[in-house]
Amino acid sequence: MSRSIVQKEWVLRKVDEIIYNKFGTNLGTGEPSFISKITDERQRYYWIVPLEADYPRIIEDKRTGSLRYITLHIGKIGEIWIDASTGKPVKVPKRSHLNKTLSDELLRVRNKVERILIRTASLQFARLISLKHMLTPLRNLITIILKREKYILPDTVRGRKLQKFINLLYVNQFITIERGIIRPSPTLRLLFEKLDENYELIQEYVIKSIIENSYQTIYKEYKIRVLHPYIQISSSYYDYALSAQELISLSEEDLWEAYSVIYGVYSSRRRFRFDEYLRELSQKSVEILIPAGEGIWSGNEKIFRDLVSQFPKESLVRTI
Amino acid sequence: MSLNSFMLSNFPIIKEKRPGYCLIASTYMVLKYWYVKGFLSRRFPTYEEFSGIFAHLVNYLGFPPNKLRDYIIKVEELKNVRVRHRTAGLSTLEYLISVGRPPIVLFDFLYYQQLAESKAEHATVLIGFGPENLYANDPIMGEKYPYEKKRFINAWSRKGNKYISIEPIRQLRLNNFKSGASGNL
Repeated sequence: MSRSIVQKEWVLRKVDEIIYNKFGTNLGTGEPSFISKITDERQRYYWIVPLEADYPRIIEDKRTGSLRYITLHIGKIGEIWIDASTGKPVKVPKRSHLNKTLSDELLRVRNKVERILIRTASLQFARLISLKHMLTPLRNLITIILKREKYILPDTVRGRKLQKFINLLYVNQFITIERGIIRPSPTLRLLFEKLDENYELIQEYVIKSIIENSYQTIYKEYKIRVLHPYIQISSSYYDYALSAQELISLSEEDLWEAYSVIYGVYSSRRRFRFDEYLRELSQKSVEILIPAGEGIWSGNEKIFRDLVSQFPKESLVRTI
Repeated sequence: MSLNSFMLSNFPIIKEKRPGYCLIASTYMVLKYWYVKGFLSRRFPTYEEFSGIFAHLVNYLGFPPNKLRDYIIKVEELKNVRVRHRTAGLSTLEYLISVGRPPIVLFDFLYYQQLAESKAEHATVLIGFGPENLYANDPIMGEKYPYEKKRFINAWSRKGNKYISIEPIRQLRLNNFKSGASGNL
C-alpha cells in the first residue's frame, strides 16, 4: 500500500514556523534528511531537520566610522523530527537546551581565542604591575635561588605559603629539588646568563613561561586570579578584531559591551575597575591594548598578526 | 492612487548593537511612534527598561517573534494593541507605510549585503519608500537607511516575506488609516 508522505518544502516551512514561534531569530533550518525506522513493529518515516545557528555581531570601528555586521557560523545545534506521514513534529528540542548548546559553542570559540592570546602575549601579561605585585614571593624566590645558588625552604608558615610557588618553578623546570635543597636548574642558569644576569628580566621570563604553560594551574589550583580580568578584557578585544579580520578601534563603551557579552560580566565592581585594567593593559612595556584617541582602544599589531596566523578564518563571515 | 515615494516624518530611532536585539529595538520604535501620536495609554518606558523586559528570552538564540504579544502586555494593555504576523508582497509594505502603519520586516541581512546566506534574521522598521529604495529606521544602520528594493526583495523572500504589524486598536477602528499618516519624501 502506498502511503502519502509530506514533502520536504512543506516540512521546511513547518520547522521555520516552529523556529519563529518558539526559538528565535538566530536560528534557521539545514538540509533535511529522510529516514525510515521500525517503531512498535511498524515501519515509520521521518524527516529530520537540522537546526542551525548563525550568531550575529555588530562592530563599529571608531577609527574609520564604519559598521561591520559579522556572522559567526555556528552550524547545527539541534534537530527536529517530523513524522513524514502525518506532518506532526515528534521530537522538538527544548529552547533552553538549544540556548545552552549555542552558548557552549560560543564559549569554545572564546576559550580558543583566550588560549592563543595567552600564548601569544604571555610576555606582555608578565609585565603587568598587578601581576608582578601578586607574584612577589615567586620573584623573591627566583632572586634568592639565583643569588645563593641554593635555598632551603624554612619550615614556617611563610615557608609553607611559598610551597605553591616552588611547585610552579619545579613543574616548569626552573629549579631542581634534592633532599629539600632547591637549586636553579641548568635552564634557569642559562637564561640568566643570556639575559645578562638581569634579575628583572629573568623574573619576567619565568612568569611568562608559567603563564604560557601553567595558566590554568595558577588560576584553578592556586587561585591566583589577578590576571584573569586582564586576559578576558584583551581577549574580548582580539575576539572582535579577529571576527572583523582587522585591527579595529573600539570605543571604551563598546569594549565594555563586548567584554560583558562574551564573558557575561555585568558587575558594577568590574565596571568601576575597567578603566584601570585598560590603563595597565596599555602601559608602555605591556601594550596589549593601544589607545587610539580619547576613549578609543585598538590592539597591538604584532599580537594581532600572530593571532590571525593561528586562528582559522573560514568559520567567520564578514560583511559591510 | 498609488504613491511613488513617501516617508514618515519624525519617526523614532533606536540603535542597537547587541546581538539578537534588533526585533526588540524595532518593536520599541513602532510602539514609541504610536505613543507619540497619543494612542497608547501607559507611561512609556525608556529603551533600557523596555529591552530589559525581553532580555531573558533573547539570550543567544534571539527573540522568537511570535512571543512579542506576550511581552508587549508588560508595557501596554493588550486591548489597546494588536500584533499581527503576516506575509505579503512589496506593494503591501508600501501601502502600509503610506497609510502610517509602519511594518517590521524580517529578512536575511547578510544576504542583502553580500549575497551570502545566513540562518539569522534581521528586523527593521520600514518608514518610507521611493522608486528605487525602501527606507528603514534600522537598529544597526540608523535613520532612514536605504534598502535597494530589488536586493531587499530577494533577502526578504529568503525568510518567507514576513512582516509584523503592531498597531493600536483605536487606530484600526478609525478605519481611516490615511488620517494617521504624515510625511513626505
